[in-house]
Amino acid sequence: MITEHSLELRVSYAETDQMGIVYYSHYFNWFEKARIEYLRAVGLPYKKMEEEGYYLPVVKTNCTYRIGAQFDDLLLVKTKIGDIGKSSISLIYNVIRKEDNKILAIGGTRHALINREGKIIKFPEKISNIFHSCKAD
Amino acid sequence: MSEHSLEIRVSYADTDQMGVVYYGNYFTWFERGRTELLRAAGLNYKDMEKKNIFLPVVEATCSYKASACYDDLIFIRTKVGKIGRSSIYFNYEIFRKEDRQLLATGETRHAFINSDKKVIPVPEEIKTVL
Repeated sequence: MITEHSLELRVSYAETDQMGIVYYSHYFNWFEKARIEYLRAVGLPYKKMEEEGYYLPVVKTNCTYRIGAQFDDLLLVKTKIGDIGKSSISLIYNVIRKEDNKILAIGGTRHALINREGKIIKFPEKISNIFHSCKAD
Repeated sequence: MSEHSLEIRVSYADTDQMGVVYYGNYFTWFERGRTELLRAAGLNYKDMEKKNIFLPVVEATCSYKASACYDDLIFIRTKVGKIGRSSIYFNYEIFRKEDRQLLATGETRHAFINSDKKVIPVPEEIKTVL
């Protein structure tokens, strides 16, 4: 299975600020894009998960910024699975500038699995199996 | 000025289809919180940049306890954390005003740099007022 997923992104003007780099909150949008595509790639399109009553809200997030991403940079967001709990999962992101392979930022998100009523629930076996099979040793 | 409180009303633009505020938007609130803390301390960030002092975020975290929803009146309590040789931490707590429920806590770490992106020591006058 896919232990690491890579998403290519181009930095848009809308993402930059007057310091000439990407505004710090936009990295969290990229993390979302990356994990959604990762989930799709492993057969768990998130839209369908929601339709089936499974939601993965973020309960904790962090990002360490090393080098500012700039307008028009071509980036790779590499996503890996971190800890998998009974009803939570962590994802780890590396934002890489494609041109020179430099790591610009490293981040993480932790998600709870909840149902439509907002109650925390355990991962169904099908989902849990997919996550475990994608986790690098 | 080690603590500051800023009131904000949640706008539609802040929300997502789960009916809550999108997780990345809390970081824009943190920015408003720290900018207003600095202003209240007599340190207008715009003027700081003019004086060649920049405070980019080098690390940011947020823990979400309960969700902020559209039209909620919230307040951001910002505190100055540790001040290092050339870095500063800000800590944030976001409360729903109505019932004082804590919605999220967060932290940002900033480097002090000049326009050449060189790390500089925290200026004494900034240390003094914070």
